[in-house]
Amino acid sequence: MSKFQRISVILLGLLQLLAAALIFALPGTENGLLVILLILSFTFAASGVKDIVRYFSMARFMVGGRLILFRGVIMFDFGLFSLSLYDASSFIVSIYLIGVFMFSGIVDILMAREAKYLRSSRWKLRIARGAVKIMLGIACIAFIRNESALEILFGVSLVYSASTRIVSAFRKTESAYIQ
Amino acid sequence: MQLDFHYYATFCAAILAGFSRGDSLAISYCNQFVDECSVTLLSKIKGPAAAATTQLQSELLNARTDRSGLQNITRIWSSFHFLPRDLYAEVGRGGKRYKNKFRLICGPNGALVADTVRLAKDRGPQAAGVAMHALSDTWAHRYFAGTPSLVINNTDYHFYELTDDENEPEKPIRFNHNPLAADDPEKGSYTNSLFQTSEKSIMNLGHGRAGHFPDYGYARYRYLPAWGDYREVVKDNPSDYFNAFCQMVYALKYLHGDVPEFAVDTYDEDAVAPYADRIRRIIGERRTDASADWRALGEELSGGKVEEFDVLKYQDEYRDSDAKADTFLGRFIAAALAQKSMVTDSIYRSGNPLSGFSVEPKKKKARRAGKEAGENE
Repeated sequence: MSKFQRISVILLGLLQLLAAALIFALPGTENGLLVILLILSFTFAASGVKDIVRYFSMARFMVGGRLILFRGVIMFDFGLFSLSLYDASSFIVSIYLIGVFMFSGIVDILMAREAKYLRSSRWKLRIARGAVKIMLGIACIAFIRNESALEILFGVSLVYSASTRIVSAFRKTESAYIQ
Repeated sequence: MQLDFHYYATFCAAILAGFSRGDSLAISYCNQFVDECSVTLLSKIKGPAAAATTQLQSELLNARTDRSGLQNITRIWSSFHFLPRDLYAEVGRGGKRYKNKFRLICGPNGALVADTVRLAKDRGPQAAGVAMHALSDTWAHRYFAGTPSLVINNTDYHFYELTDDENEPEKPIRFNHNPLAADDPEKGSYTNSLFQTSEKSIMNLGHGRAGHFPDYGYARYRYLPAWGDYREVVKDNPSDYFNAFCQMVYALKYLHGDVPEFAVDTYDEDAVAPYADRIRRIIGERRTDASADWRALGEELSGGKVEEFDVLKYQDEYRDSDAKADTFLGRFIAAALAQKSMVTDSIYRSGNPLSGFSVEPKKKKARRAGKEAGENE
């Protein structure tokens, strides 16, 4: 990882911690939910925009590259959809959060299974990440009527994500040069 | 290409080029050793990690795909297995990032092949083996790039094997993702890497998306390469592998000192002519390993036994030596570093940052300048 990349990763991790702090500071208020929806919306939309940019810069020259465009548009649409939930009841937001946690956790576990199958040592970290997400999803189900508990759970997930991100920025990487 | 070509066929080519039996074995050993010399092996023998010429599947799966990680992967695979054909190719579409990746597409008879062979001149059988590996892989790995890239290396379901069967002139290739399943030429079933939409996933390195199929001498196929703008490519391995063999004989004659200059697109068909039918038969037979037949030909040509490739053969000598540079593997490592440095530097000089840059030439220049200044004083 280059110095610039390390700094970017650390900054992103710090932003996540800041967002978590904001959520912890606003438990049980409408603003807490708004922050959660804003984060989800931004994450999905940014991923969608990234794919759309990749399509126009490179993938449109690739056989079957439209798949990248479709994925980008769907992710961007998810981003807009997440923001539109602000007007919906907190119950619907909770269901949505549970869906996001569960889906993301299952994807992580499936990827961990695949990594283990291919004999990669990364499967342990991935399965741990998936397990944490699923546990958060289950906790969301348990506290489905408790808005502040949901916000705290989402904040915890942000702290966890920020920690793994920041730790990864300090991991040793190989030199870019031939000695 | 695999051990059958890199080891046994190279031995045959070296004998035909006029090398002694011992040198031919050393050349073919080093050719195959390029596929074995990973960071894991180097750490075991206490060699420099920078000399790695390949990456194990486990190393790749754990390799980082950030900028420096990708540069490390690209240096290894572009220098030894996917020598770029034209670093200054007119691409005519896409931005700089796309063009940089496109220009790393491997192919035979490029300027870097000539540079590779010339670099090995007068550097011993180890350097000749390294050069022959890079040269022969340009034929097997053409149309794929030694950098992880979905937009260059991806393949899709449009992949057909061309056969001589009148009833079924082409068979669809069925790919699966089970790394433990053996390729089955009869059923047309081969293992390939997973489809990953991430541009830089290691699943999109080289011919991973086409599995080992391009490595089989009998393979004749048509498919849609990701970079091909929906134009089909027909790959004829029996013809390409024969050309690779004839070009190796020619290149080895140059390294042996029998040919004054190495030129691309030149093949020593005369030296191969007495064995041409047999060699074509060995290459063209449908099987995943032709070692036995190449070995038999090598033994006939050299009049002696050709030992099996043993990856451990020189490891103790290197590990236990106080003068590592003078050992067999020490000279292999020097040749590998020189090749990696030359290719990395060529890619960097073409304005392409994908493989990073080699500090060695600059350091050497600075050191030489410092030395000269000292002497003048």
